[in-house]
Amino acid sequence: MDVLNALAAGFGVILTPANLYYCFLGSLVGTLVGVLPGIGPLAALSLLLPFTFTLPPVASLVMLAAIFYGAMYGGSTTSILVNIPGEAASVVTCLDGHAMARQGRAGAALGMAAIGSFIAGTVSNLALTVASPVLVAVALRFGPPEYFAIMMLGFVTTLYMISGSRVKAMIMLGAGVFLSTVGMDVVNGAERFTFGSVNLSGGFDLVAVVMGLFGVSEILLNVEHLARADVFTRAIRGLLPTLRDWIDSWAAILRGSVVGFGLGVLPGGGPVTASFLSYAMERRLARRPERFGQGAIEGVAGPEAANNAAVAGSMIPLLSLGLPSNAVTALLLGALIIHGVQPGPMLMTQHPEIFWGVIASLYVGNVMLLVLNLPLIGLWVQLLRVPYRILFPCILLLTVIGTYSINHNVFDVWVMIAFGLAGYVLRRLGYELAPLVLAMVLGPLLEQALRQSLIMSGGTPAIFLTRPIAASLVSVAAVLVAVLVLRGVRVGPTDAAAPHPTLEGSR
Amino acid sequence: MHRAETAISALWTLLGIGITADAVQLGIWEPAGPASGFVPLLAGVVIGIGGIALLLRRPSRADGRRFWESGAPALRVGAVLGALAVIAVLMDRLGFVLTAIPMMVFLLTVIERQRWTWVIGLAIGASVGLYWLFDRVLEMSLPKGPLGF
Repeated sequence: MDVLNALAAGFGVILTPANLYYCFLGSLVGTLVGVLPGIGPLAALSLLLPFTFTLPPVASLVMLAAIFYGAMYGGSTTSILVNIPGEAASVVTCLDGHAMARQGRAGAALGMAAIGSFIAGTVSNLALTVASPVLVAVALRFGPPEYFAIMMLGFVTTLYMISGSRVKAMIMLGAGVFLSTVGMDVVNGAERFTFGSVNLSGGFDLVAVVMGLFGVSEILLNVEHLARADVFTRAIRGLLPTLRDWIDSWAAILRGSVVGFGLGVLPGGGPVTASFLSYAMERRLARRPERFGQGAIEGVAGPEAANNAAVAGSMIPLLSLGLPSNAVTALLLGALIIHGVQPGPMLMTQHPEIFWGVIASLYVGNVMLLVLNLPLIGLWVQLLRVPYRILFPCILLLTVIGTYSINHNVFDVWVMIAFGLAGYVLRRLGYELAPLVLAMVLGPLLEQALRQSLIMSGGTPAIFLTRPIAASLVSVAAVLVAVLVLRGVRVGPTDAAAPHPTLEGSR
Repeated sequence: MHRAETAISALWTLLGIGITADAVQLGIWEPAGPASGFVPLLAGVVIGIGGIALLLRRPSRADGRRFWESGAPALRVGAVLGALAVIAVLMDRLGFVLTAIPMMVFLLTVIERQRWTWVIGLAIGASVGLYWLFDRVLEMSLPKGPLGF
């Protein structure tokens, strides 16, 4: 009952004209970002983060979260109609979604993607509502050793979740932690790695780094080879799925919801992994797996349900523990910190309007997205006709505006350019950048927890083994590392052979 | 691709060594517990070991590919980065609008080879529109030049 009362209060927060407006705006921008190839949710969030600084924390978080799940909805439209994933979590939707479009069933594919997303979003929001307070109650017993242990476990599971080289991911984690240490040491005021630069004494700005790594590098990858995609031009009819479609899809939607929610909670998981796993699972469970790739509707329903469910799943560690499970939630955490809100288990009691307001906004945004995605499908199809060659100079200007406006300092623009080049080269060489962002955001929390733990213990690391929760988490992390080592760490000789993520591939 | 891979791996190794050395100078341990260099030391070791592991790996078939298959992609990437660098240099002096217009014209004509007539209109419209939206409506204070915008 307490949960219901708190959720009702959350609805009270979100159902105000201002917050509804920001939820709608976020859903609209998210759908736009999802629909337009060449800009993913991470790049969009990093672009828009500075523009939310002037908003109240609730409105800012509600809008940024809406962009995240809005992009999951919108991505399917481009996959189905153009055979280009609007964002990475919709890559597998191309396989059967576009095949359905070629067979004249684009409407059914779009309808099932939207309705499946809505059902999965609602199911996972319910799970989030129930699970978050439970996890908060557990997390209130956490001290610095437990926090350090859970962050280490998060880093280790990230190595399991990535698709490329684990050594490269390990380097990215190390680089992220290193970047987070640049600037003044908050404990004793010592300058670290600043080389006497005043601009660096406050450390690298997260927004400038992320804007470069994801926004600028994305543009550089795309301008290399501009895709000339054929937009689906036939009229779209029959958005409501038939009874046959429902019979084929309902189980896939439910399985996708469960898989997506579970993978969303896990550190390193998220919508991309969830959609791939859901597709593989549906194909394995199908009576006629040969239909997959030829227009099987469950190949659209499952992954689309999974990527939406993963969004709500990934909100659990963010809201309950103050720990992001992927790069997008790392940015949301960064937004909370920028607004002066201390993330963690106390968020529910100290800022219930943010905690429950964001959860309630997920329900509201889910309904808004269904409305945006079904009746307005014609509008999104028209948007797909805007060529990327016109869009990218405008996106480039937005990256400059967004980065400059953080501190009104051109130094941040130079940081963005440098990280843009670095991100471009690293992505071309098969490095995944999400672990770097995750580690950069978690770095200060990790360092604080480690140093506090070791001060508490008088310098002995045994503190991580004598407290039950920390010991359990460290043990799991140790077992996972041991399994990695025994199986042979994948150094990744073939990574560079993979097509680099551009308009023609995944991001 | 192999040369680029090797160069980046070597860079990681050197970076790891550099961070580790700097971390030692910052101090690893003090009586109260870990000092300023403790966490950077761990990060440096991870980066350095990773770089060495990549350097020691066996070359693969993919290593035969070139980083850029032709000169055109390199030129396009270089042009975009160059345009960004020019903006960073001139924005504070000339203001946002006067810097953004030539950058858009450059990108749309030199890289995308679009027609001059509508490129100029698009560049002026987009630059002024973005300035109006972010500086005037959202009050984010973009750099202003001698003409006041």
